[in-house]
Amino acid sequence: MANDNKYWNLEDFVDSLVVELDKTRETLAIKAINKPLTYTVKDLAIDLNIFPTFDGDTIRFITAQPGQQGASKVNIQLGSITDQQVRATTKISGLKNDTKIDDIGVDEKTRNKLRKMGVNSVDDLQQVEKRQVDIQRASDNEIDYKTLANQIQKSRRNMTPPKVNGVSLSLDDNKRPYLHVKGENFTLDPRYPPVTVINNQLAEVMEFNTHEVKILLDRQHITQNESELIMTFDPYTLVKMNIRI
Amino acid sequence: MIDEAFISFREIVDKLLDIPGDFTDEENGVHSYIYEIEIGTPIELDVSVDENGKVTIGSIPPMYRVATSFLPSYHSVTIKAEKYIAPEHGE
Repeated sequence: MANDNKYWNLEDFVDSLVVELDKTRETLAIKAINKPLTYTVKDLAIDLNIFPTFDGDTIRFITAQPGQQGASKVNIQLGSITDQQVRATTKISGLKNDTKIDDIGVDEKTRNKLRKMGVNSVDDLQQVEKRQVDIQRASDNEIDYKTLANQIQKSRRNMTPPKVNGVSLSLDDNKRPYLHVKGENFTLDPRYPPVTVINNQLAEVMEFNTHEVKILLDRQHITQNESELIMTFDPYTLVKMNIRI
Repeated sequence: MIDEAFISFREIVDKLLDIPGDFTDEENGVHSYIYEIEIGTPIELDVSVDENGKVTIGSIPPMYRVATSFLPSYHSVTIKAEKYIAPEHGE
C-alpha cells in the first residue's frame, strides 16, 4: 500500500470508478475487431474496507491499510445503463445557459445548504421558485435570499459584460451636441436605465438600448482636456473611460 | 500517483475479462461459448488523491500467498460481464 493514503469523497471515488469502466468499454470496440468474442462489464460490485470520518459537513473515507482492524465495509454496486435511459431518468446538467451555484461566488455555508436541498444550479433554484417555495424559510433563515438573488444577477452580468466599440461626437436635430457610445450588452435589465457622469457631473441620457447610448452634452462638458466618462447600466456594471471631447 | 505495485482499475478489468470464451469440439462438431460470466476476487487497492481532490484507483489481486504478521486489507470486487455486441452504426 502506498504511504500517501488520503481521505476521499465517495462521489470522487465513484467518478473515478466509472471513468475507468468507460475507458474499458471504449477500448472494447477496437479489441472486438480482431477478437470477435469479447466481454463487456454488465454489473460491478466492490466491497471496500474503509474508515469513515465526518467533519460536521461531509463524510469522507480512507481505505484500511495492512494490519488495520475494525474497518467498516462499504458495498458499491454499479449497473449499466444506456444513453437513452440516462436521458429519460436524469436531469441534464451543464446546459449552456445554466450557471452552477459554485460559479456565482456564494459563501460556502450557503452553497452547502443549497446542495443539501438539491439545488446545484441557478436553473434548479428557478424551478424551486416556480413552485412558490420560500428558500429562506426552508433553510431556517440560513440562506439570505436577497443576497443570493443579487449574486445570481451579478454572475449573469459577468457572463455578458458590456463592451464599448466606439465613442463619437454628434449633433441632434436641435443642433445640441451629444456623445454617441456604441457597443454591446449595454442595458440588459429594463428596470435599470443607464446613468452617466462626465467629470463628476450627471449627464442626461437621451436614448439607450443594448447597442448604443446617446448622452447629451453641456457646454461645460466640452473642453480640450481629457474628460472622464462613467456609465452604469445596472447595479453590477460600471464602465469608466477617458475621452477627449 | 499510484504505487508502482498497483495497476489501474481499468487494466484489472481488462485482464479479468480477457478470457478465451470459445469451446470447440471439432470431432463431435460442437461449438459452445460463454455468453455471461461472473468473476469475484479479493483485491488490494491504492486510492490516491491529488491536490484537486481527483481520485485515482490503483488495484492488484493478492500478490503473496503468505500469512504475514500484517496482512493486507483485502477488498473484494465482483464483475458480471456479458458477450460484447458492437453497437449498430449511429447507435
